[in-house]
Amino acid sequence: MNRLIAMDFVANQKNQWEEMLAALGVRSIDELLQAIPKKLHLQPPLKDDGLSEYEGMRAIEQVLSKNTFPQYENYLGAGAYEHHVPALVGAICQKSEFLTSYTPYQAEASQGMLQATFEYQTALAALTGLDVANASLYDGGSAAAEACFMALRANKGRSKIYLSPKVNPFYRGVIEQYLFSHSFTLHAGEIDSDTAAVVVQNPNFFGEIEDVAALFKKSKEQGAICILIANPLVYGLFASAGELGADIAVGDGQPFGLPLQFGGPYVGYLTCRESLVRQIPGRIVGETVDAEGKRGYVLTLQAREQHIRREKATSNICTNQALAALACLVALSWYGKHGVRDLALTNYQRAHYLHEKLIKIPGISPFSQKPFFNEFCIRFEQKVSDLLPSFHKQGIQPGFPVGEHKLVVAVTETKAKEQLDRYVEVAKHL
Amino acid sequence: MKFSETHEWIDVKGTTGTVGVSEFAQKELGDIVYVELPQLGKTVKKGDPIAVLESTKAAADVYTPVSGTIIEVNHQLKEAPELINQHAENSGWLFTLQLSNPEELNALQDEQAYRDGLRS
Repeated sequence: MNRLIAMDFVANQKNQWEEMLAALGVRSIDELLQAIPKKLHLQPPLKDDGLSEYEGMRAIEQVLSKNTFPQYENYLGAGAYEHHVPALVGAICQKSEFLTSYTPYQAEASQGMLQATFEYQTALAALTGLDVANASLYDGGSAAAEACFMALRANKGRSKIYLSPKVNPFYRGVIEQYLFSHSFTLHAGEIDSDTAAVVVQNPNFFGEIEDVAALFKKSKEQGAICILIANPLVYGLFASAGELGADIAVGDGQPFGLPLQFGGPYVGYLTCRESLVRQIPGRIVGETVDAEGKRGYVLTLQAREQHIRREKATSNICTNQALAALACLVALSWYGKHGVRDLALTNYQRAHYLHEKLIKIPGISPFSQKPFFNEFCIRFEQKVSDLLPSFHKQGIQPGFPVGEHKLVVAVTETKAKEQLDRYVEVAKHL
Repeated sequence: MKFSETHEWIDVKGTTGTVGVSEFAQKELGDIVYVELPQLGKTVKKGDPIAVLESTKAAADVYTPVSGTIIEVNHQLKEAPELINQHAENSGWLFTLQLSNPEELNALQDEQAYRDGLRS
């Protein structure tokens, strides 16, 4: 019994096999499996017994070498951003205590893991300027959808959600999917007393900084819960979600400490005002003292989670992205309060440098006059699909195409002046 | 005072009834830390889950024992949810409603029957 409780994963030994076979009343594994027709059995030795470890590694490396993405200078953004990941992130996240511990329930959660999650929550609450954060969600899209549910629970009886038309379409897709089986309507029309939530992204999908504060003020007069979706790096330079009047802030933590990884795993952050704390989905770690008065960490506000409330649970998010959230925390701690601002400023400056040069080129015009952060939209006279090959030939992935003539371009600290100048040269000779 | 099978009590005066949870329910839940009360003016049907009591170990629904319209809620519980633990069957009341179908009271147990039922 002790072996079971210790949860180790040691394969059964011969004597244990024999014990189990005896309990079943058979003499051998073959006898146990005799119901399976002989012709379905694998007959060793096999003609092809696979590759050796070395051969296998070679085969995988050959396939991987077909990936061309490392050869490109990447200006794709639209929700996922190429940033430098500090070496410290890998050094800490690869520690087996973190790497291999799947998000455990209270009884098994170590103090170290709980403390890391608590610190992640603290960092995100500070960054977004709100009171509380949860232990993370799957990604920015699912965090946005869960925020909508929070608002619908807090604003019982209301049936509409205002979703800004300039919210990332991928997020919109996730929100629609979540709301699919509920009788609520998403709209972009009038905000009134039937509107449970107002959802805005800032900067929006086109990179524009919008007048969110004014919209939120108007929405609050109607009693709507204000939800702000944002790339968290923007808060290094611009007003926090709390300052803008948001009740809930959500987004993807990927820009802090997570490489692109072909789309995931990322981590969704969710922070809110204290008045909404009982509507928060998933887990929250709290700080407390033990019986001897020593500091300790515990999962808190669990009474509405699915292992207690079953089908009436606040949400069916039972897990969080603990390891991805840890990466986010390590990066944030590494940058520090001033470093986050510096990083955001570098992003801002490089994006503006490129934008300024590009819109001087005949045939390229700005999409809007609104301020932007590290991502902007430009319009080409020619079709973007006709231009892409010229960029690709020069090893540049110039941005995310929107419609036939627009390109959303993301510029992070990973693009040096020489690289930006090269982009401009290619754009000049299209 | 009458009791439901789901451990709510109702005290009726004229056509209004005050509802709370029984001493037994309070003990089962343990320390109550948060109470979610129904909206004033809300029309409810007998058996609807219209309030939530959250203790340190669980969040439990409270079902209204009769149909009606909510005319008052116990605001004191917002600041002092422990009132339910201390005085479940008087100052720990949850809400008052205007009964729409007083005949529903007949289906509830009287105090003696309810307490006997708990003992058996």
